[in-house]
Amino acid sequence: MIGRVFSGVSLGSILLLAAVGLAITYGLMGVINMAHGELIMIGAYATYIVQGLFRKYAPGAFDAYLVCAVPAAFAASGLVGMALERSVIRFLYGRPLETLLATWGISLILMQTVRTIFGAQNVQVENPSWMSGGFVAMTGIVLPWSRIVIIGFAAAVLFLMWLLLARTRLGLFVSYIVDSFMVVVLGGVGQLAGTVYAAVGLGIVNKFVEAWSGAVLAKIAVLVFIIVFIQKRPQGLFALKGRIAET
Amino acid sequence: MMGSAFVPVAGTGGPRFVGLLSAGGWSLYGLAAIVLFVVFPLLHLALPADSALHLSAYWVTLIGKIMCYAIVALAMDLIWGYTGILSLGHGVFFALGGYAMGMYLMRSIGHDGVYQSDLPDFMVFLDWKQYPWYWSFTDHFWYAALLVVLLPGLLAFVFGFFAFRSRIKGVYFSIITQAMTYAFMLLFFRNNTGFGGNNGFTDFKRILGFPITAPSTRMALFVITAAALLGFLLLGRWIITSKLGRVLTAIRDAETRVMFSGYNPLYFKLFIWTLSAVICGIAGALYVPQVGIINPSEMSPANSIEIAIWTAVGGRGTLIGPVLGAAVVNLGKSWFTKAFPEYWLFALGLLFILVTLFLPRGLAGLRLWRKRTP
Repeated sequence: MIGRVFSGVSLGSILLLAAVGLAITYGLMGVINMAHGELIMIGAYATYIVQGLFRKYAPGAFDAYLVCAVPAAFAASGLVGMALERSVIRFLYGRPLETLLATWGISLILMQTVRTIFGAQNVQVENPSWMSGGFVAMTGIVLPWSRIVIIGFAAAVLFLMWLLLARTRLGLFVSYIVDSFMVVVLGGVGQLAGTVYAAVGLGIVNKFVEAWSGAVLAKIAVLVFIIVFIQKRPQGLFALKGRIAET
Repeated sequence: MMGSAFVPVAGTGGPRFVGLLSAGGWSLYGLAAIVLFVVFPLLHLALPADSALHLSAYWVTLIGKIMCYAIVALAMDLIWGYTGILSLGHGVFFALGGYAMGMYLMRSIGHDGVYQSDLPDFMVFLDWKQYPWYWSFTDHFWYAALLVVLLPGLLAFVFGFFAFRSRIKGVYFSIITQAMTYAFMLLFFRNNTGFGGNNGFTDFKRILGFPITAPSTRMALFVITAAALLGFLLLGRWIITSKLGRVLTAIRDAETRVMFSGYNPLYFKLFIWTLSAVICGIAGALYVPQVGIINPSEMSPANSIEIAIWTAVGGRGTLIGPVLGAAVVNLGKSWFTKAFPEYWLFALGLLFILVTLFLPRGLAGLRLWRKRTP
């Protein structure tokens, strides 16, 4: 029971890291980014490269590779994202459906590029030794370190995001540039909270239904749930009220 | 910031339409009919196989397949180009039509399968002893034909009713249609769903008693598909030039204004959405006997997005555009995947980006063949 909630939360925090990015690009920029998954993939391959470099040149310090891999992944995905914004997305602001199609084209290109460079096979990324094993919470319940690290990391990223958007001049500028300040106050930050609840909730629901009905049916159930949910709350968990909502 | 998502596309409707097509339009239409109904059948059936002008089975199947895709793009255009609702789940209607026809084709195999049983091979493999209930009557062609229309129609009606009633619009609608087609793909991938799992249906032997790979059967399917394409073109033309079509384009351009004028957009949207789904289902049913296979990958989210791109490449809001778009993209695909298989995704991705950036009206927007009148 506790173990299942825990694995649900850790799945949720992975979903969260992916979804916060989508929530910001859509919530603040009005851009549907279908290439978001490919940006995640680029981060993952960056980690793979860093891991390979460590194994080859500094096998003694292998356990520390993650510390270098995180900024490397950040930089790699960030650079590709910047290039995409300058070359394609900036021409499509205000037209979400067009961004959806164009970014899907981008995702095909990125996918095929990676396939050409690294091959279509899965590549192996090894956990550092300090992430294996787990924390024995109770007899019979082991909380794996890798998951604890993921949850902690997601929480830290979320906190930084919130600081950036709500507490800095940059966040203020972003919100001015993007749309009216109201949307960010009501929607932007609200959407961050909505994203957190949605991601963690979906993670837990998924793990529970999975145990009861198998992985495929669990996925189908979650999809049906999403379809039904959008019927009830078309604007998301934390909907904007009044006239801004209709624009 | 989310409004006005739609770039107004080529002028549609208006009192200037007198007949369904202009004089030039009718002559092109007649020309297409002669080529598809007379020239191609003669080239395929009457000429000996070693003649230089002989139309090979490969080309008949390829053109037949592309005509099915063109019908789908046409259906997409009715809902996206004219009504402004981007569906990214049309693959599911296409596949359901295909599966309905596939059930009949599986039953027509009879005892000629690998296991020579009453049941299709995949059911023998699962050790099933009888057909599940939803397979009943599928040995009758008329019943399968009914399912081809009813299954996509019913799914679209129910889904559309709830979605349009909740006034789900724009990107939100596109995303739940993606979720729908993805959920159906996962469902059909399961072996226990009873539709052959990830292999789907294949190895068909005959249709209505005719051997399915015989040149004459192939040509008959080709001609029926061509007739369906030309028929749906006229139907689409008829709808968009009617008063109904004017309301649809009004919904696309200013839905709130349509509501304030006393129309309820729900029923107009629901009608065109369901019709579009049924047309897709029929296209799927024509596709399966020609291509000889149907499997759940037809329902993959990516497939449905590709349908949108055929329509966008050809030009939204012009009926002939999507037909051209489907033909150009798929001819390109079959050439690329033979000549440079690894570069097809690059080409398709670039096409997406270039069309959305530089050709919002698609190929039809180039107006190369039209008079430059205002």
